[in-house]
Amino acid sequence: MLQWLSIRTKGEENGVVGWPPVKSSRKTLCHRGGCGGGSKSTYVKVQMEGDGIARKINLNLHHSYNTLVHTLAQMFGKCNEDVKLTYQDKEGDWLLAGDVPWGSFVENVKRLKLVKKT
Amino acid sequence: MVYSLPEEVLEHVFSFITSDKDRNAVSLVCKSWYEIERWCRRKVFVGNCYAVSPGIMIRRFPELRAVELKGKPHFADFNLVPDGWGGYACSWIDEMSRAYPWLEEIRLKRMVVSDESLELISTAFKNFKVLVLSSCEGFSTDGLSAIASNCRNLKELDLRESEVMDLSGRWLSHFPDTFTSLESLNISCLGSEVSFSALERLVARSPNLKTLRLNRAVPLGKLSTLLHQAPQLVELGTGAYSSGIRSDVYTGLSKAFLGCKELKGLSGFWDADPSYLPALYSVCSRLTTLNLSYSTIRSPDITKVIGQCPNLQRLWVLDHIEDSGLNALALSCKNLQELRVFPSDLYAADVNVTLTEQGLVSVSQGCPKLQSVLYFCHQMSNSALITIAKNRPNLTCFRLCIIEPRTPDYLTHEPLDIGFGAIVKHCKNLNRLSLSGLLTDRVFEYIGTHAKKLEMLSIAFAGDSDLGLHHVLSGCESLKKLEIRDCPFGDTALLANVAKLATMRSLWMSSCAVSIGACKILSQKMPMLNVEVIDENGSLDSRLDSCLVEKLYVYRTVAGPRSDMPGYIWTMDRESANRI
Repeated sequence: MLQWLSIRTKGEENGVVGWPPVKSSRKTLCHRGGCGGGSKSTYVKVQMEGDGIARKINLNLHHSYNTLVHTLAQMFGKCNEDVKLTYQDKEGDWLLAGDVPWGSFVENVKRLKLVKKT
Repeated sequence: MVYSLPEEVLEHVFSFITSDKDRNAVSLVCKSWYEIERWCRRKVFVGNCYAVSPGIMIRRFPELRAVELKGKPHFADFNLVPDGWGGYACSWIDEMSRAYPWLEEIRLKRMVVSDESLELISTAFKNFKVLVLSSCEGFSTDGLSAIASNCRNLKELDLRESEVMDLSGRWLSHFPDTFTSLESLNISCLGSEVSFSALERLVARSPNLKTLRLNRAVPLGKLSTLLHQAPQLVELGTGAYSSGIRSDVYTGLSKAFLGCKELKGLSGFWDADPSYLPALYSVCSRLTTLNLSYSTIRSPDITKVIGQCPNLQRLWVLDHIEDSGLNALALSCKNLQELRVFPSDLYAADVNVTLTEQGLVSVSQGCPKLQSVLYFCHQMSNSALITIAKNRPNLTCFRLCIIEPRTPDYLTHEPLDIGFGAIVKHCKNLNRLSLSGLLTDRVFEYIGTHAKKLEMLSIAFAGDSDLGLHHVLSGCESLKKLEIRDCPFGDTALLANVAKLATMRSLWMSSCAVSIGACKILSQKMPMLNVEVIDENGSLDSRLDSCLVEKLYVYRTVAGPRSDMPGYIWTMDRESANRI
């Protein structure tokens, strides 16, 4: 009586997360023409308003503001309806996330902050 | 007649006992030995940062000089552990900064470290010497600037495979001109270019520099300059190993390598151009370690290099080496102890068939000292595994990854049970094993029966029923770490072996058949375990006890449930078990 299913999640090109068991720094080497030697992930610090502990998130695992806000809200135990996402760009300015196309956002973001909607 | 040696004498005797295991044994002899030992213990290894709290460690060992901590479970390396899981070094570093002003060494693996923590390290510990951040994350080059600027007596800075927020390469220039104590530097994981002149001056004023691992951004044309400044190097990681067709670069490099009489280990080799390989032939006869796993050079070129390295003990390489290269390895390198063959093109439409099980069989035949194997390949047979086992009963680590899950013996189409069975039967000192291919419960029966020294076992896409897990938990006496994914193991085996879990460091099970109810029962029966359920599908409260959990991480602890978990992790506690 097998109730178990292998969970196949999107996120890896061949469909199975974490298989084969190769570290991401090696995986970037595997793509044709690509070579390792520097991380291809885009990690940024993220803080929740009022919470002292800063976390970190890999933006390369996301492709839209929706999934990003959802994941961040969960990370801090909040509902994504109750928070807004702000970010600091390369110039040092704090902006509300969502106005620019996702690609530009990823290029320009330096750190993230979740604030409570009042 | 009862007499005891004075404390000072015992302390002096204990100072010769350095291994953690022996120190732990000494502390169990009697109360006075426990007391003396704890005051003179200088280094501690904490295999799971949540198994104990900083406070408990500090209370017991007031005079530490070196601390090593590990955070996330091993499967975090393969993205199975979600962001925000934990492993924060912050509270450890904060408390140690107050308790151990004379702390010299911090080694962290799979932990989240902030720039603030790095700044604190750089200012709180006046005699700080060694910082190793292995597969860590959460910090930027700003934190490295603080370390460079403030740690006057730093000997070792090793960032191996950490994810660093690379804001710029300027941090390296923050080592003051008066700083001359550097012995080991590993910046191979960094993407940004560091100032070459700052690097050159740093190397030039570090007479004790033995290990230098550069990042890819350091051009090959500049490598010879560095080597001339540091001919005493023992371990070198190159940057990019190509430079177009530049005969002056080649000649310069050749000459520089000729001067490196102490060089024993080489790594790096990104973008390696085979025409530059002969430049290092002069050091090959002394090489004991060679890591070519970031280079895409082909078998004939690899073979030419290996043919010159009779003293090679450790080789890391891509599957481009092919069976032909491994045959050459078996002939040339009789001192080989460790072989790791990584996959090159995982997503190719056609499979690289020229690396097969034969290569590994050859090496097992030709290299009598082979102890440790990591091998990625596309096909395997029971007969090959049996041959390997009989050839090499001295194997201590055997990790085989057949890339397609559940692949059977390609000759007989049978499961690979008897092959792995032979491995555990013949290799009596095996302490680490990773399984792959098509496997039934039978393989676990063999493992439970024979693998008595096994400490770490990794299982994926294997087994038929709970019996498989039960064999492992009831039979493997030395088991410390068990990690399982995508196997039909569930409640029955887990609940039949609850006591076993308190003798282990940790158990990871993801995409298996464990229910919420079983987790509650486990937690109720074993208060010294943290039973953590990771589930990103919403609250557990709304679900039936019969629902399966996504991921389970169970570990023994004296620190109670942790308080830094993100919203999608629940510690099963006795209260929730009583709410059935």
